Amino acid sequence: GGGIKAILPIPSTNPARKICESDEVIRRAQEEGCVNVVFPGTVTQEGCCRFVSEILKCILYQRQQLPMTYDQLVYSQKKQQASLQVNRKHYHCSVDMDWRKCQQTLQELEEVLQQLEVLFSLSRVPRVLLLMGGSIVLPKELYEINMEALVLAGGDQSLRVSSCLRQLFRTLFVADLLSDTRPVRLMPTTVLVLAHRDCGVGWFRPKLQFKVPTRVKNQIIALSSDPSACKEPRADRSDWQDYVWFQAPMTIKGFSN
Amino acid sequence: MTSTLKGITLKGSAELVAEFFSFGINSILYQRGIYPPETFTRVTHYDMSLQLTTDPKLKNYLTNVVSQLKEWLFECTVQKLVLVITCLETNEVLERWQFDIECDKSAKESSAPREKSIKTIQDEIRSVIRQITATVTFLPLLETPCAFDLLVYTDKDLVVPDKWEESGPQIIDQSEEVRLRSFTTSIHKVNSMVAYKRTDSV
Amino acid sequence: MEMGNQKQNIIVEVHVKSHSTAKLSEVKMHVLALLNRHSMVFGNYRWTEFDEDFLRKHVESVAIVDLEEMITQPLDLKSCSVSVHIFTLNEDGPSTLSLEDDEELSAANHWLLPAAEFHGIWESLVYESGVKTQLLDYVTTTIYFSDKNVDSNLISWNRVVLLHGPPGTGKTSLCKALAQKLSIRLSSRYSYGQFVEINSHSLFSKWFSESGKLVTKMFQKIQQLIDDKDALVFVLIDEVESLTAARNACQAGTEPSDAIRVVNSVLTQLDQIKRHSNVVILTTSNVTEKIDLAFVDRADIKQYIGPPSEKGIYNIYLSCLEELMKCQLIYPRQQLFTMFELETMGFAKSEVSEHSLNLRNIALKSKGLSGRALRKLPFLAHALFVKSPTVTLERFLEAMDRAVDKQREEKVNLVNVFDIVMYHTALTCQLFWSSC
Repeated sequence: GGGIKAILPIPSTNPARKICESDEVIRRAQEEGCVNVVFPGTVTQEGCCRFVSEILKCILYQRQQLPMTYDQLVYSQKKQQASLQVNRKHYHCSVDMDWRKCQQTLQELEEVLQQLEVLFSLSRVPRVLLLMGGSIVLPKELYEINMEALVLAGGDQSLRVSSCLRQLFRTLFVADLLSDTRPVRLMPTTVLVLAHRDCGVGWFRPKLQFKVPTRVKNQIIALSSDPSACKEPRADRSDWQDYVWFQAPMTIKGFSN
Repeated sequence: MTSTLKGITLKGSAELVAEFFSFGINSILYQRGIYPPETFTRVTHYDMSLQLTTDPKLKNYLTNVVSQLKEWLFECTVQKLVLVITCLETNEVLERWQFDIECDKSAKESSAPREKSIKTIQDEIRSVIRQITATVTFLPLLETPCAFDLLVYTDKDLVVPDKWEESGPQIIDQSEEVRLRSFTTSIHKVNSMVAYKRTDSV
Repeated sequence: MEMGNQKQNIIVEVHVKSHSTAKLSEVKMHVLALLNRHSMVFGNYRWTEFDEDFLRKHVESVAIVDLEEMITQPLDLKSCSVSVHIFTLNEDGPSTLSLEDDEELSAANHWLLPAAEFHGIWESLVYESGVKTQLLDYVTTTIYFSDKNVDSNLISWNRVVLLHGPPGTGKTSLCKALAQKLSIRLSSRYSYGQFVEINSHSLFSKWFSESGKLVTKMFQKIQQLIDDKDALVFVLIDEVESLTAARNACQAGTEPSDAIRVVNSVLTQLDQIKRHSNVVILTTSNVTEKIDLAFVDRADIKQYIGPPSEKGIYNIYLSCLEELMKCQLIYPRQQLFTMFELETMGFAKSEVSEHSLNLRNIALKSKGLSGRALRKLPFLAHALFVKSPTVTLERFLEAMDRAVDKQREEKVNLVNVFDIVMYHTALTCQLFWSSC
């Protein structure tokens, strides 16, 4: 801890340039529903998987489908499990119910995260959709992670995942795409991924007929690599011809407290 | 009863804002790992899960600060609250949470409640607290043991209690700044911002 | 359906496995090759096992469907015009169309077609010959007409279907099956089907005291589905007479109540959405006499769905027994003839036809039981009179015979129960009247 200090007002330094930059990010997010994150170099395939996993966790929390962040949930779940084992006599029905709901959500989320890892080991994934509420043709909320313009390379030539994540979430935060003052209802979240037709993924189910819903605002998080910082060329539109949509066979049902 | 539901008074506003600071500071200390997670306990407030410290010394300290703040908020003499996180070893400032407070001093003259429901205000506060939590996703890891300080900017002519000392602004050099959402009770408006040391590792 | 020199149209439905990512064009190519290898057919036929790898890997079944039963001579597919419809089933269950303000209120259930849940319903429904195919052709034509923008002032038609008849005859199921079938048939025109089942019970219990605004909201959601011109949207309103009942009851009263506002709002909204060319409105009614509801009155396609005939019952039982033999609950498997085959044989008694004739007698005895009761009968027979893991067909038929007797007895008792229920309903109506 520290001491309490009262001090006299001093004008704070306000870098004007930076504020303008973030104003532009906010404007694009609000008007076009799009946040662009340009990484200064190439990334790895595993990195892409992490981006998607972390964005999924973040969206679930920010859109009020989880009462606390994923990491906190995991931590509190472990703590609770330990105390339940020590103190079997004292657990109440309601505590048990909450614990089960939390446990179920975590299991669903972990399963999806694991299967995403499997998928990313089988195929390049240029686009991921998170559909919340409603149905897959008409969800209540729709988020797209677009990675078509990311340039991939091996680990030794690529940016560190942790610094990419920091850049990504800082931009997302500034864009304020996910915050909502109004309470958001609990709704199931469905993950759809675009992957190669012949990648052989088993868990995700092909949805050959699926088309991205157009009658709901699509909030796009577009990740790309700065072309001037990469030796490798960006993928072409024609490269995605044999890519089809796959749907996770289960939804993530959130919970509150 | 009905009047508190319908509108907000200066006293109510001071209480709400002080309460926000209490939960906000606890959240920051928990999220940023200034105190170990096992010294916190989970409570439900604003319809969300929040962490409160159980460390007796810290608890006592925060209670004092918050009740002093409430007084200043009621008097409309507080301008800023800053939470500074410093490296314990080098004393270098690593992170700086700044809450600018705009007080509508006219509320001191008229006691009529303002037309804003507590529910609406709490909804706004909730989204700021949620944002505080979400900052962990991009703030640099605090890899060394850290301490924190609270700075309060007040009107110049204010008589400051004995235990308070004067301090410099504790600005970070080479910093990045990110603004959070603001909220207003219609009497007090709070603009929040976090500044952190720029890392060149990108 | 002989049309001069025109080739006979053969419809082939190809059910692609849900994990398959094969291109449609490739599936089609392989199916056509299969049909080429086995081009002589004797009526409806379904392949589930294949003589080549691609089909084995990607295809669940290939079926020649909806041929008239009376085929006297084998057909050569090479001289027919073959249309191939390829589909995969949507395995997600229904989602609810709920309204923003209140999550408790589920206004309607919503399926994406073709749905796994609706699979096989069409085949399981047995009616007088031609009922299903006619209905299918009828609705198909209206959809073609509207898709081609035929002026309905010049040629009168609309896309409102009413199925009416006594309870338990599978009207609701037929609506679902019809929608499923159409979404498969028209998949080249509409990329998917939507099935919205409006929950008329919640419409009249929870919503009654609410304003018509909720109805408007629900239809806004349906409208959003319709706005997608690539989707064919089916809207089902079960027991449509409940709308009439509510309206009549209220018209008898002096003031317009919330109830009538809700009903009027539903009718107006239905009138609105049925203007769209990609909507089919399906309604059912248990009332056999004329329904006094202007909306349904204008339904172009009205079909009476009666209790199954002797032949229908026979076919239902036959499908049940085939299933039990497939699952080896009835063992060993023995030959049972179709009604058509029995007829051709002139119902002649012989060793091979003995079981079939027995079954026919059971079917004759079962007349008057509802379709729902008929499908339950083999289960009851097993539970009450078999009580062993496997049984011969002969013994099972005996058990069925006894189960029918028991069922008929109970039906007599049931009538008494119904009387009580009716009395109860009358009371509710009175209460309802006074509240209007």
